Parts: sequence; structure tokens; C-alpha cells
Amino acid sequence: MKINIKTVTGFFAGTLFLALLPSVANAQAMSPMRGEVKSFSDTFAVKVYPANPYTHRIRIEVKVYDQDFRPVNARVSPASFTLGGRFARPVTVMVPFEGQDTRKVRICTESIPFPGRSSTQIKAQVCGKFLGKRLQ
Amino acid sequence: MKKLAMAVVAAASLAPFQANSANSNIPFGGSVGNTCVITVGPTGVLAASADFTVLGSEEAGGSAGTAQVLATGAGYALSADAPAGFASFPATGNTNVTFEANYSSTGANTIAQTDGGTATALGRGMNTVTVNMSGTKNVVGETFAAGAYTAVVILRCE
Repeated sequence: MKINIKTVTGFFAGTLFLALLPSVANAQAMSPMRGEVKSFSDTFAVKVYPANPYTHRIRIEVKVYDQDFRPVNARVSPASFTLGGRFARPVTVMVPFEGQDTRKVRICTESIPFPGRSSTQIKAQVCGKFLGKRLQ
Repeated sequence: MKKLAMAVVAAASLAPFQANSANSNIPFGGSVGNTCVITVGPTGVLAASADFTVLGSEEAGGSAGTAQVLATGAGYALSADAPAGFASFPATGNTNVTFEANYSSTGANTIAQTDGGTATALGRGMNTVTVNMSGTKNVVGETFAAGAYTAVVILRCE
């Protein structure tokens, strides 16, 4: 009888764990946050998944910066979009090497979740660091 | 007696099946991504100092902005960028103003009030982050004019 209780408890614990997983995953603001990409061409591509942790729709912008937070001339598709609550979507970023063999960039997801609500607003910025390596 | 023996044999032959079905393992799997989540809470309020040379969230009548920051792994850092200027302001409101921001944290990481430009490493866990900002007139005799002011502080996790 004890074994049966343990088995049932274990089953429910496992089910609860699995049921909690999607909500944890949906709360991610951006993933992945680190990456290394190798490319034969003069650009390298990164796919990131910005997510909206709130229950309301927010506007999200994806921007690319270098190590000193200077804007990088990368192609982001889409660069700006609205995202429903608890949703994530893929964004493709194409970064040019601009003659370098390696390039480090920050890809940042930015949003102001409550625009116009107060005199001081907080812009949430979650930045991932990515390294591109050009293969000859 | 014979019937009892047969019943025992029957029960014994059924027992392994029951035991096997009770002990079957059902595998579950999943993963949690290594990431950082910022959930902005109540935004801040700016208030003027008594001599109207400072407009800040730490002045009397002002309030700090807050955010929940969750790191699911190690290797992330927190910082807050002061605004380059007010986003909306009356005439001369953005002239000769020095902006500053600071942050502090409680929760998984206790961080004392730190200049916004200084990044602090985050350990894994949930944090309640308090963000303050101020604009100070940097020319003697200048004061903030009457009107509505708004500013945006960037809270960064990277």
C-alpha cells in the first residue's frame, strides 16, 4: 500500500512539474542569452525568441549593439512588433562581419510595459551576448 | 483445505501482475532556459526639491520605480542607465541638467544602492529591484520651470 501511495504521489508530482513548465518557459524575456555562430558568408545569423511575461499586450523592439553599446547596422526581422501576453515569437538577426574575422554583439529586447503611466518609466532591456566567427 | 490452497496459488499468480502495474515508471522531461526576465512593477514619480533645482524620485513626494528581475542561471549582470534627457518637458526643462540613476535589490541578491552605470553580477533567483533617478540643474541660479516632466530609465539585465 505504501508503494502505491508513493507511486501515485510521484505521478502527480511529475504531472504538476510538467504542467508548470510551459508557464516558466513563457515568462522568458528573451532566449537564448548567449551564443556562438560560425558562418562562411560575410554575415552571421542569430534567431532569438523575445517573450512577453505580462498578461497584457506590449510593444517590443529588438536592437543590436556592439560591446560599447553603439548601434550595429544589422538586419532585424521584425525589429518592432506587438506581442500578446504570455507569448513569444522568433526574430531573425543578420549581423555583418564588416571585414572582421570575429564579431561580438549584444542583441537586446526592449520594451516599456506601462507607457505614459507615470513621470518615471522603466524601460526593460534584456541583452544576450553573441559571438560570430567567420570561416574561411 | 484444498480450496484454500488453490486460492493461495491463484492469488500468488496474480500478485506479480498487480505489482508490475503499480510500479511502472512514467518518464517526464523538460528544461528551463538559462535566461533573465524583467517584469516592471509600479513606475516612479518625480518630485521637485524645495529650491526647485532637483527633480528626482528620492525627493519628498517622489517615489522609486520597481521591477522584478529573475535570473534562472548565473552569469548575468544588472545595471540602470540614466536618461539622456527628459522625454517630455516644458521649455528649458532639458537645459543644463545632469541626470543620474541608481538601483538596489532585495531577494536572491542583496544589492545596496548602486550607481546605475555600475553593473552588478546576479546570482540565480528572483530579485525585487528599486530604481531611482534624478535630474539636477547644473548652473547656479537655474531652476526647473513649472510643467509636466517624464523620463525613462533603462533597467538592463545582460
